Amino acid sequence: MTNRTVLAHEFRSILHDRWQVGLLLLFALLSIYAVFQGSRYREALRETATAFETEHLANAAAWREQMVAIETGETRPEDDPWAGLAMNVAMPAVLFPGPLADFSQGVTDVHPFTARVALWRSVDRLFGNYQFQSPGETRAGPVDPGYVIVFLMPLLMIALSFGALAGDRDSGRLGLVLSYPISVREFVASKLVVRLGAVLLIAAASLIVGLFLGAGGLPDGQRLGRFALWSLAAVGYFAFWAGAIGWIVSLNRRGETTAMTMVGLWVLISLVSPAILAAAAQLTYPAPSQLAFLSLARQVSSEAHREQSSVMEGMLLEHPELSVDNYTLPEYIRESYLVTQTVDRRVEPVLEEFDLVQAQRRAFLGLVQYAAPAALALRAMNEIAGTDLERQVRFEREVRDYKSRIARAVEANVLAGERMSVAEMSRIPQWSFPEPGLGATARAVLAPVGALFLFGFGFAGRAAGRLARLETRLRETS
Amino acid sequence: MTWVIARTELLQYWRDGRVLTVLAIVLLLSAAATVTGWNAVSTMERERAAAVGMDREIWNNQGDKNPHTAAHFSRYAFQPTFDLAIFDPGLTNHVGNAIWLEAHYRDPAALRPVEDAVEIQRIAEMSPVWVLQVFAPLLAIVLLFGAVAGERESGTLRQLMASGLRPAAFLMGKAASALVLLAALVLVVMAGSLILVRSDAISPLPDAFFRSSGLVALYIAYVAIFVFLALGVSALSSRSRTALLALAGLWIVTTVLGPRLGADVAGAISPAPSAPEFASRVEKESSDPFWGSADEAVARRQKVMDDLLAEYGVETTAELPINYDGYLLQASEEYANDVFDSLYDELWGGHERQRDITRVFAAISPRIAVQNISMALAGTDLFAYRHFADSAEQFRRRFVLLLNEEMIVHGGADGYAYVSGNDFWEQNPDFEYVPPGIREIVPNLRADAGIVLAWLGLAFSVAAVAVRRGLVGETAA
Amino acid sequence: MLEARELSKSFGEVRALRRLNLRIGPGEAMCLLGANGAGKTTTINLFLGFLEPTSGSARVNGRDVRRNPLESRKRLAYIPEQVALYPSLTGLENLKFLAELAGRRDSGEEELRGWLERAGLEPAAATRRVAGYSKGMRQKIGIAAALARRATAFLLDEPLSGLDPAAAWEFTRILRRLRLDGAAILLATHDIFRAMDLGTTIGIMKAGRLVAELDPKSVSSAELERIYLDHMKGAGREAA
Repeated sequence: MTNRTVLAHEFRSILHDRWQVGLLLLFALLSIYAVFQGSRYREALRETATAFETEHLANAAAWREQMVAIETGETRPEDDPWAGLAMNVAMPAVLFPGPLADFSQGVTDVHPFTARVALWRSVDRLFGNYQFQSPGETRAGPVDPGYVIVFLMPLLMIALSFGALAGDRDSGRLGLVLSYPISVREFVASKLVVRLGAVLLIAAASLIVGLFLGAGGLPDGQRLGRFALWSLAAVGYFAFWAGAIGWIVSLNRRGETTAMTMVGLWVLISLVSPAILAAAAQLTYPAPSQLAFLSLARQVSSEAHREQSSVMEGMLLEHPELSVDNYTLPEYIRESYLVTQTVDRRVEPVLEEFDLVQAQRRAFLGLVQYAAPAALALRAMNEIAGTDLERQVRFEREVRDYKSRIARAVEANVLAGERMSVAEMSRIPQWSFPEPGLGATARAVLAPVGALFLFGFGFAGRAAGRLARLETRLRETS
Repeated sequence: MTWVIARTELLQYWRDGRVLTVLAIVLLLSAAATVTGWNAVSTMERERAAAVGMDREIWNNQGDKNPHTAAHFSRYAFQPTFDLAIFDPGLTNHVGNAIWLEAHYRDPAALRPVEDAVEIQRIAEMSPVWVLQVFAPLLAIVLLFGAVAGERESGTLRQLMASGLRPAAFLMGKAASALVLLAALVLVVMAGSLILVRSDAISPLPDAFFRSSGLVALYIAYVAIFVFLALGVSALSSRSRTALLALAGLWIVTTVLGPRLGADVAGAISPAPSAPEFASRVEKESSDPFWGSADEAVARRQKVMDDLLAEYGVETTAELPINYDGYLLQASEEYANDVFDSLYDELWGGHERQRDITRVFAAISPRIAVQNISMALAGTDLFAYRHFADSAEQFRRRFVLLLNEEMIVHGGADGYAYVSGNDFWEQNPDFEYVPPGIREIVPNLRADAGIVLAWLGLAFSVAAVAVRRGLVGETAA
Repeated sequence: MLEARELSKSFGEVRALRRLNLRIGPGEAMCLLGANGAGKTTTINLFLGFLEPTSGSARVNGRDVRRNPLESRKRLAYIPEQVALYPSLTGLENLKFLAELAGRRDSGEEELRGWLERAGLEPAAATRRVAGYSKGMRQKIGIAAALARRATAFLLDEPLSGLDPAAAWEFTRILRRLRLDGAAILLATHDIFRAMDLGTTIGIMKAGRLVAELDPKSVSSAELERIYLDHMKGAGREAA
């Protein structure tokens, strides 16, 4: 398909064109910047998450020490009435940054990734205050490798290759070329291989730098596997654009028309269609009102406080084994427990509705995303990187679930006002977040990434056909 | 002469299918964006109205409760979304809608719409200003990249100049036709937003007329920058293809890459604090030095007590005519308030520093300055949100004070056992937010307005240089 | 009236035009013959003011082109080989635009059609878009535009090349009528036969010099062709 003479000539002519060299350098700089920024970002997330977990695990350990001290007789029970207070159980739940969060940040910048799971807090406040990000920064979005691949790479591909045929056509050199034993297809393919290959090479080099930079040394198996998948998605997007560019080149229009068509396609694919799809998903499946959710939680909480005696009665009916006769701790502790449990139970349907809407949108976008290759690539990359919305939604659900599991483990002690024992404490569940395996992720992104390649090959096939017809026409007329 | 050229040019746009197609796409897109924006804003306002009513109702009916316990439960300040947010949502989706006004703590605004958004909304958020900021320049480029270079290639330019037409008149005619079209687009988009606003119960911002006219003027200046740049580049390029490439590159840098790169670099230079870390700082620094068991905290509480006893000339708190627990609570609030001021100054200051660093990138992207002015006029910028958050914070302090005073004055010896009832809650005031007027906003716009004017001047000079060099002949060949 | 006095133009080392002197009065037409690069187009560009003379002066209707570039173009018509028009506009719209640029804002459609008729364009063609016009039709729009602005001096740069014989004959006829109406015409061409037909003077240019001025009445076409070719041979040797 390619011709060595043309390849060599193209290579030299790129090196001699200071504009093209400048663009390639700029792209290389931006790629390296993005890789560097991405790895800094992931490292900061990881540090914060680790610090949070360490601090709260230490608190939990200190709390356990107080109980051990009581059981070994080091502390007299009356000297530390709060030791082993079941209501004070608090465990950290942490979502560590995805294995490739440095490659695409996804939605990690606006969602909580730490939670102090405590019985004092109802589910609506489990994540505490985390809305301290700079709104200007979250709005603009990051310059990470995902951005470079999805937005900047196609632009550079366009800038380098729009003149692959048009340049020779406009200057009238095409006829001369045709007088040599080389086909138009071979001629164009050779040019595109050199021009687009340069872009792919730079992108690949920067990603490999990122692989090691983000791992802080040798990457582990998980990271390597995800990197391979992520790169495949990136190459898929590259293939899509290479095909599309080849096709537009094969239309054999004037240079400026070719360039305008390509930039127009970029605008459509990278800006317009994702914006329309996002708006469509959100209009079709509107999220329930967060404010109504907040009001409901507060209303339930206020009512439960007001009607605490009846709430208590209800609880005792459900738990006849509990005795409240010898309750020595302040009453408000038990009340608070009952109130937060009531709130948790009552807001559960609304939370399920939120989850349902997200699932519906996901299913909707899963279908219509094929109309927006940029969305296709970006969603797949986020999913591979472990920075997608679904993972975040799952984290939030797991944390709520974790809270209810802790509550079940210590409820009897809270209601009875009994100190917990070290043995009982060991029943408190540990936090764990199930991450999908590499295989599952690969299967999930198979269709989107495969579609990118298919689109690319489809376009390339059409381009080849067109160029063959163009050749026949040119040879007939000349 | 200018008008003759402009009219002929407009006639050609009208006959050019490509121009009409692009224009139709841009108009459709802005119509979709306007309806989407209107839907979002009116939903937010409806939900807010419901939440405000609910908040009052819950507060009124909380039953018998200690006033300080009520201060812990407290109330919410809900951020209103004003009419012009349809036109320019600015930071709306990235700032919380609700601030909890609890005692002892200053909460950030929670419930940011972006948290409910699908991830691809982060690629591009559809809004009327997005269409104007991104697509209007593109339209200007499509209209004008060949304005001079193309006519030079086809030979018409030579004939026109041979007929005694002045280069300046020729360029002004071209500029006028593109400006007429683009200004019409700006007006149509703006009018679309305003018409939808009127059809709904969305609160207007004060000085609406000044704000909307300011926005129209801003966007006309913005498109004028691209009109003159496109003309200048077209005139200075030997071929229209070169002009198109140069302008497409310029468009990408100014509208797509510049703002994002600027914000990213700003975030790297002046990083926002990590959320869990900052939240825990707010909690610890406002509370531990007062309520903690360290000597410093014990001494601080002792001093509050000593000063109060001295003031009343008594020996023990039991002899005080007021409730001491309530007094101590209020003293802790006042201690914490200074801490909140300094911590939040640090937080917002960091955000503002990011904005200022990003502004440096306006040297390569006028869109950054235009965005700043646009958000400010639409009441959706950092200043507007800080103004709301600060107003809510002032209200929180007054409200907590009111509740603590109830306990101080009436609590007597009951202290924490003292309860107030619904008749008291019903008298408590609501938070009424008054957004800043145009006079408070205009001084913030100086830097950005200067940048926009500088760009306009630069664009105009590029076109003027082209005129001076002559459009045909040996210098322009 | 078109007048050149010691008009010279150099591009760096290359002397494109050397001390040209000519005077074309009202009712006169000078046809310039010469090989490509002999200086014909440079001469026209100097009269148009697109180039600055290195020395000497070009005058149109008595005004120095360099000092009064815009004034001198007021009654000057320029018709290149390819009359460039706006393809999406009709012939009439193109003419209206050109007439308005020349300050004729008040021209009604009747008046515009009258000029088109005088320039020889079929009335039915006037309302069709120029994109489908032949070369000859475009040139007629160019002539009509010149008429609209009451041009008294004409610069024509190889307008005849590429026209079929009938169109070339018609175009020459229109030009001759313009000349008889008092226009001063400078026409650069390769077509000896048409030059004889139209010109009151034939000039032969070679390497930037006007090497011969002939009266078409005093030579036959065959003689002119021989003289021309003799000069060209010399030019070829000089260039080599």
